Amino acid sequence: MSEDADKVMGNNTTLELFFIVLVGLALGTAFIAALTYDFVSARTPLCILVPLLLLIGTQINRTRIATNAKKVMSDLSYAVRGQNRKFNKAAGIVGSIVMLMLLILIAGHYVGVATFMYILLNVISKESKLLSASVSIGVTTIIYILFELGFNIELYRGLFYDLLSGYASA
Amino acid sequence: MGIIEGLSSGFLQAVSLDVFPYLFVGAVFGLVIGVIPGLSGHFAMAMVIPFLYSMEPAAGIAFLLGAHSTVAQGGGLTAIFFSTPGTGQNAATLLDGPPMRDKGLGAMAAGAALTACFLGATFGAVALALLLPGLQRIVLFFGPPEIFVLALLALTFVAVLGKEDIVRSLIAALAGLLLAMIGLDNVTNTERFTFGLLELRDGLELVPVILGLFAVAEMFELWVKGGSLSGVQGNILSTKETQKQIFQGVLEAFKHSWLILRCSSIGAAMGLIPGLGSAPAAFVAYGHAKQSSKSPEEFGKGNIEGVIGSESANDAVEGGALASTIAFGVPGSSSMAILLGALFILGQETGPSMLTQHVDVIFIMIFTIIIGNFIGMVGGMFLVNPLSRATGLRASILVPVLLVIVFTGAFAVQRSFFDIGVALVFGIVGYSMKELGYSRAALLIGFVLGFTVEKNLYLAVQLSGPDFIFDPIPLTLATITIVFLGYNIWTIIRDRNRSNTTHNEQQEQ
Repeated sequence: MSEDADKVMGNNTTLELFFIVLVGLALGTAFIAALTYDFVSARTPLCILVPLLLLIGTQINRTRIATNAKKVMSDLSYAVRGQNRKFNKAAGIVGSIVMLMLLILIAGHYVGVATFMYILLNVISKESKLLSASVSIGVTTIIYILFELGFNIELYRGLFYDLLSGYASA
Repeated sequence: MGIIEGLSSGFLQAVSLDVFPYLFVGAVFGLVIGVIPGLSGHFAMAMVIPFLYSMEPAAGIAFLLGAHSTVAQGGGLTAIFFSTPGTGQNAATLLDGPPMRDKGLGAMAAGAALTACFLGATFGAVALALLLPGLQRIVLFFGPPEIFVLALLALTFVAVLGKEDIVRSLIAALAGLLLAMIGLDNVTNTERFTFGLLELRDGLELVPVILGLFAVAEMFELWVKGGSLSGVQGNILSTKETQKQIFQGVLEAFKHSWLILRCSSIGAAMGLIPGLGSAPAAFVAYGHAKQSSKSPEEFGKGNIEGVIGSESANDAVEGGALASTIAFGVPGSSSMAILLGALFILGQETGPSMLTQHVDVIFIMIFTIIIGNFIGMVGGMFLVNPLSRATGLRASILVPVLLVIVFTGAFAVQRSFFDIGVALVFGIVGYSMKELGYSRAALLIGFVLGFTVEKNLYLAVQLSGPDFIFDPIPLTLATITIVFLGYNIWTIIRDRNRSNTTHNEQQEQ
């Protein structure tokens, strides 16, 4: 990649190519879907989608010019082999949040968020057990006070709770 | 409701026991958020939004704007003490704040910055109040055709004037508009882009989208970056010396009240233009302060006028930005888009009805800005040292805690598990956009304006047919949009050609 191209595109050309192609595919699907709507419903989405797809095409072309297939493949294999520290950390936190969602679904909001915080603090960030436990319990208590007592919002109790209650609760 | 009646009602509501505690908590929260580098005004507003559902409109507005109004004050402290702007709008403060700190005058700079912020914000709020009678008349000329074209103009300004690349910003703005099309079409009752998902029938909820784009994305960035929040450790002065210097700084700010007035005027005027934001206003004001100074050679080496000029302008912007948001329902920045969303949540409608029937709500905003900034100024003075220590927090502790609060907020809005997923998806999108230089502000403004654009386009076509674009105001606004966009594209092509010519000449040599 030339120095000029680097300046214009930054150093994230592979990530951008991946991102923009993904967005392009989603928009392509939306365009096909919009063609099936009646005229009034399709008018505004199509007015937006046509220039948007043209801009996406332009950006894919700009990104393609700024990089080459060899660099893309090299960056991808680097990330897949777990050698890109930034990518690993970002993927790790996204994975943790997916875990948080599963925990909330199964064990309920309070158990879920407390476990999530403890794992991030103690297991991943290597903070002390005492600090991790104090922060997890403290923040969970604050959330309970704020949402349940302060704003009267009942947070989800989880599938187990529902099962034990004979599906009595929401 | 008349202006005088609205003014008195707005003031009494803002200082009432039902509203003031929220304003106070919001202002302190904003100050703390502002101090933490990487967390900005829209993060503070995004965090506040989930709580609005259970609040009265006046309390909700005070809570939200209170948090937003003090962020710049907190950010100024971090810029001065740690050479790291707490928010983007404090970038101009870096030019003279840290040099003053290095001379041992950090607390004086902080005192001057806090006071300048307060006076600038007050000027911006008063300017908004003075604009009201004019806006009340102008807004009557704006029907669906005018609002439709104005929304497109604002979106173009946001996309083009932002610091991001123009193609990426236009992609973001149009993608935001398209996201607003998800769900049932109000006219034909047709489901659009739901792909069979029942949760998408009512469209994407604004709150998880905002939380994802700004709060979750910021947390991802902090987590990936790691370490403590401030890279540079500032010099912490003794409490007594700090207080003494702060009060000297306050006096200096009042001594330069004419400079504050001029720079605040620049800020308020620039706030009226959608997309410009606070940071450019602060730099223009800094330039003006330098140009009009008796000692311009001292700028950049620790001149207090540089701090006062930039800080007063970046807070005065809010008054101008609020004017266009309130009058036309067209936000010029991501913060104003969040405010507009919050007003929907609180059941408030912007435009002519707010300007004529709910003037008190506008004055609640005006007094919230003034009182919030006053709380920020006083709080900031007494909390300079402890607040500075907040930047020593490790990202590894802060991120899990804030993420949990963010996702709880996303869930609590509709008690919907689906919204947690929406916040996560938009967190990933927001983080990618930030990393790749796509404008998140343009995406959000497009999303907020999407409904307005479609509704007004439909009404305009129904009322005047497709020729509505040739009416005087729409035609003028459309011409400005096309000329502005065309000019910016032309300058990009011209600069690229010049750069290529220079590059080729250098290679030949």
